[in-house]
Amino acid sequence: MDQPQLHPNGDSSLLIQWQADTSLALVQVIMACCDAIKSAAIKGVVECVPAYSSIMVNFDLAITTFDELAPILAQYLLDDPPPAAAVLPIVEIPVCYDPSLAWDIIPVASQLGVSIDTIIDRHCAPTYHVYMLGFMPGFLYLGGMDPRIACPRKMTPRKKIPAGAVGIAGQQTGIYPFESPGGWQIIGQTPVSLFDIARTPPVLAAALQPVRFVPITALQYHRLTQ
Amino acid sequence: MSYGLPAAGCLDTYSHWLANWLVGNSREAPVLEITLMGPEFEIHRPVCVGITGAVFDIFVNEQRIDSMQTIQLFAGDRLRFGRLLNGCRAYLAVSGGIIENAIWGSVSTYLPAKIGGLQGRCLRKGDPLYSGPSHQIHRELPNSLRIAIKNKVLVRIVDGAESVEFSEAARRELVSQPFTVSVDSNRMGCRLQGQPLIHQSPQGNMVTTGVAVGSIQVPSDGQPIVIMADGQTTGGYPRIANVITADRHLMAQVKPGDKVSFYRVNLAKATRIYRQKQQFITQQLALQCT
Repeated sequence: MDQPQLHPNGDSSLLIQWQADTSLALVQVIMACCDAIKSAAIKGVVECVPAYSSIMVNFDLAITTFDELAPILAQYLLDDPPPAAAVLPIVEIPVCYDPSLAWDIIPVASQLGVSIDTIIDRHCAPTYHVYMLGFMPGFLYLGGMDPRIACPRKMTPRKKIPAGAVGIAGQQTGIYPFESPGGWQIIGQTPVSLFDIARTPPVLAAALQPVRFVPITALQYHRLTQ
Repeated sequence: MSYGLPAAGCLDTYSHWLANWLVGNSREAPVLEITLMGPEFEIHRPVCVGITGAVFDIFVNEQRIDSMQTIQLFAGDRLRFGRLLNGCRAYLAVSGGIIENAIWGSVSTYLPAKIGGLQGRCLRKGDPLYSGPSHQIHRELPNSLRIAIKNKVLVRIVDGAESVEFSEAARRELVSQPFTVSVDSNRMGCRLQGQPLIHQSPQGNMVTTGVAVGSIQVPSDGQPIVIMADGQTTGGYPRIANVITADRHLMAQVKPGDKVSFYRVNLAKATRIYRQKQQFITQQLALQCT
C-alpha cells in the first residue's frame, strides 16, 4: 500500500488521502491511523473523520496550520496493516424493496437491464462490512456490494429522503438514518432505527462490523412500523 | 463527527461571541439563534440579554429598543421581536447562558436527529427558558464591531480538495458572477443559483470523503452548495472551493434572494485574516471594558 498524501481542505481542515481501491484492509489501516492520531492528542487538532480512503483532520486555525500539522501527522501514518481485529457479530437489517417505498428501484432495474428481483437478490446476497460512518449520525457506508448493481447518484439531489431509506450511489450502498436531502438512488426502506443518542453506542453498527440485508414484504414493513 | 454527527452550533460564530460578551458570559455559552422571524418573551425574573447579528425591530413593553447593547429586563416585562430589517439570523444571549442539559458536551440543537437543546426541537409557544441570574453590567458594541449586513456579500474562498478537477471556465465563473441564495437553503447547506459550474468528469462523482464546514460542493447540475454547521460530515460531490473560516459568518446572514460573490485568496492570507480578526475583536472588546 502506498503512503498517503496530505492536502489542504479549506483553511482549517486537511485530507489524508490514500490512492488505493476501497477494501476492508484499507479501512483497517485507516481506522488504526485514526486511533493513533486521536491518542496523540496533537495541539490544535479538533476532529478526525475517517472515510473509505481518506481521513479528514479538522483543526483550530488560531493554533495551527496545514504547513505545521502535515509533517506531525505524517509520523502517525502506518506502513503495515494492524493485526486482525476481534470478530464482530453480524448485524441483520430488514429491508422492504417494494416500489411503493423503494422509489428508484424500477428506474434502476431498467437502467441496468435486469428485473427488480435480480436487484433484490444481488443486494441481499453479500455479507457487507461497515467501512465508515458519516454523512449524518449513524449513516453506515457499506463495502462489499455487488458491482453489477452499481449506478450513479442522481443528477439533482432530492431535497427530502425519508429516515430508513436504503440507497445506492456509484459502487456504494448505505442507509439514511434521518430524513435528509441526498442524491442516492433509493432501492429499499428499513424500519429499524440507525441512530439513538440514548443508546450505547448510539449507532447500529461500528466500522468494520459485518452486516446483511434481509428482505421483508410491504405488509411486514408496515407491521414493524406501527 | 466520526459517528456522522455534525459540529452544529451557531452559524454566525462572531455574533454568538459578541452576544455573550454583552451579558458577561463566556464566549461559548448557549444562546438562541433566531432566523428570519423573531419570538416574544414573557420575563419572570430579572435577567439581562444581548442581541446581535441580524437587525430586527425590538420592543420592550412595546417601546422600541436598540440591539447591540446590554438590555436589563425585570419580572413582568415583555420582549418582542418585530420585523427583520437586515441579515438572516439574530443571536440572543442571556446572563448565565441558556440552561439545558448538555449532550456530548454541547447544548446545541441538531434538528434532523432531534438531538439537543430543548428536546431536540424548535422552540414553541409556552416553552420555558432558564437563564442564570442577572448582573449589573452595561455594555455596548463599539462601532468597529457593528458589522453592516447587506444583501449582497463578498465572501473569500480558498481552493478546494477537487478544485483542479473543474474546468478553467468553471473556476473563473465561480469568482466572476454573483450567485443567488435559493429558498432551499437551511442550516445544512446554503444552495446557490447561477451559471452551472462544469466538472471535467461527466458524472462528477467521487468516493465519499470527509466534508468540512464551508466547503462548496458542486453536484452534477452545476449549482453550488455551501456546507453549513449542520451539514453532512461526509459526501461525494466534488468541492470547487472552501469559504475561509473568517468569512463563514457572512454565509449565516444571507437569505433567499440575496447575492453572494466569491473572491479567491491563498491559504496564508486566509490564515492571517482569521487570526487578525480574532485579535481585533478581542482587543476591541477589551478596550470597552476599561
